[in-house]
Amino acid sequence: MKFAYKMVCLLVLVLSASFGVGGCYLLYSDFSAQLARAEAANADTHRQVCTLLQGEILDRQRRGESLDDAALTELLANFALPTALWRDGVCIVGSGDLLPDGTMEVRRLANGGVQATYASRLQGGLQLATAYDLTDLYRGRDAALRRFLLLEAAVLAAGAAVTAVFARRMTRPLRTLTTASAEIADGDYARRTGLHTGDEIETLSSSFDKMADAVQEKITALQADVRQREDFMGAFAHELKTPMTSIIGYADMLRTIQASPAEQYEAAGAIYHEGRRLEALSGKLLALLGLGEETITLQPTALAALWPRLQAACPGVPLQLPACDAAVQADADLLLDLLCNLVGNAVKASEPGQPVEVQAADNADTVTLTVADHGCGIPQSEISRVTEPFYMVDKSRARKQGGSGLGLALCKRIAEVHGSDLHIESTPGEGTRVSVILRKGAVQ
Amino acid sequence: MTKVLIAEDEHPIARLLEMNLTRAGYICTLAPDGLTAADLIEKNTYDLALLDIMLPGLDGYALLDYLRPQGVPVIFLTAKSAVKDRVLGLRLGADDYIVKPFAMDELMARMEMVLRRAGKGGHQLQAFDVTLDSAAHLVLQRGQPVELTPREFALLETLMRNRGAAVYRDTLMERAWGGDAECTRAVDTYITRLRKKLDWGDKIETVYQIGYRLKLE
Repeated sequence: MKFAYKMVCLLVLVLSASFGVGGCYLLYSDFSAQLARAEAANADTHRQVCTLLQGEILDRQRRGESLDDAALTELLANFALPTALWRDGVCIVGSGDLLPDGTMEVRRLANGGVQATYASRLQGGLQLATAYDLTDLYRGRDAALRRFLLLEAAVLAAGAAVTAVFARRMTRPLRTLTTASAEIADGDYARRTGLHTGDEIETLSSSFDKMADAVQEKITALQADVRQREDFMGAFAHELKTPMTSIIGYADMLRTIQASPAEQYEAAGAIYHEGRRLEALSGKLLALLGLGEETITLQPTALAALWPRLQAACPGVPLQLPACDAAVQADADLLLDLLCNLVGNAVKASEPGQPVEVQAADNADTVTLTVADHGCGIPQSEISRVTEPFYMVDKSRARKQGGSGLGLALCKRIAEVHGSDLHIESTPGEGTRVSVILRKGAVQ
Repeated sequence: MTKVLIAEDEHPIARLLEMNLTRAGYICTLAPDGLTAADLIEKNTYDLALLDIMLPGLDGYALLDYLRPQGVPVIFLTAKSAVKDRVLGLRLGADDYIVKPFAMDELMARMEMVLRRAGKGGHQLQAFDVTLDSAAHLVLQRGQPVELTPREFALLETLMRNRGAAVYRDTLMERAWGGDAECTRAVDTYITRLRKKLDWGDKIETVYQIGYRLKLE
């Protein structure tokens, strides 16, 4: 049963009960007051009739006139009232049952009327009964009752109609909520209810919307995650299959025919370089995957001890190293890997022999390490993408230099492990600065 | 001679294709990026295009628009192996789709099939007075069909595809016998039969300790 119908039924029930009881009480109390007034008036009249009749009878007895039945009938006719008279228990005028003295009886007549009969004992063995018509009083009451019932029916109908309208209006927000949840379940995650009813339903709606927000956020994050993974897998497959195509193709050529020495040299060179490319790719990839799984503990590392290792790891690079000897919270091997990658990128971007600067800015409780070069730079639009795995600004150039497209992605991961981001500033033609911010640590 | 455009940004792969296809009698033009490829398409006519999808400049899908009006059949060469990529490529109007890494033999077979379907008569290998149509599995000598067993056919096809180069006996056996380990002497027997059938006693040369070579003209 619909909530709206329930409300209508409840209202009709309450209305009819309260109207019925109240109305009936009013009608009956009014009627009984009228009846009491009529009875009092009738009793007065009856008493007057009795007094007058008694007086007349006494008069006639004094004058010695006979008081036979005819005379009594004549006397009674003066009162213009339905009357009955008994002498010694025998009805001499009118008709009806002999009532005990001083009683009153209300009777329904065969024609639907109502009559009140009063009986009194007179002197001389006479008994008088007078009757009064109460039909109008009862008819009036019945008519009032009918009018009241009609009125109540009309009021109930109107009340039901109005309640139905209001109930529909009140339950509309519920329908909105139902539709919205169905639509969200069907995949329309952007659906919101946004109801402003100013009551509990508004509260429900706003918490419903909050829930939908959370669901949408989760779904978007999941989808982004899946897309990222797909992109990564697609790029990875490409990076893996391209060198494999060359290696397999050239090797197949070498084992099929006796190629000319020049062709053999070219094939072997291609196999070697593509093999090296795969090696670099697998190394970087393993490092990247390893970072995702291992838990890395950061320890206070003296930068002064790091510089010689960096120079040793980048042989032949004209490095300009800072004099900073602060200690930072870091994993020394990972930090070295990060700097090596950045220096390697700087060398690739620079002309041969151009120096690469490593700077260390000592802040209050952090140290900013920066690798700066004066090479070709990165176009502004590409900066946000260069840390994506396998993204290469100039693919063919990166290939020639043995780039895998994973270096900066790896650097970004290492920086993240150290609680920093990779900050890249670059001006095409002037150079690039990549920095990472490390927390200071005390050397034991 | 069949002219092939190779649009491939990976130089080693492009050179690999060029070397092998040239030996099989194709005339190859290399385009290292999409713009160069589009330029070449507008200036020249090709019988077939091999397109990498992920090309710098214009990608392979965009190049299709240049090639379609000229009715040049297209084969995509790509590392993208997902079914949806393949469906997209074929729906856009590529004639075939080959996933890297691929075997050169398979590529050539597909190229011949595509050329034949495109109404270019297929690519026919030609050597001296013999024409070999691999898609139709037919060998004609001076216009007359020559009856060859499947193994003889495979041997002849391999030799013709690698014209002028000595083909290793092991490889010949692998191509003709499908890798079943058997004595490589069988190759010699079949070559002898092939020489006799085609009257090519001097054209298929024996290369000491290596295998056989089909002479250049």
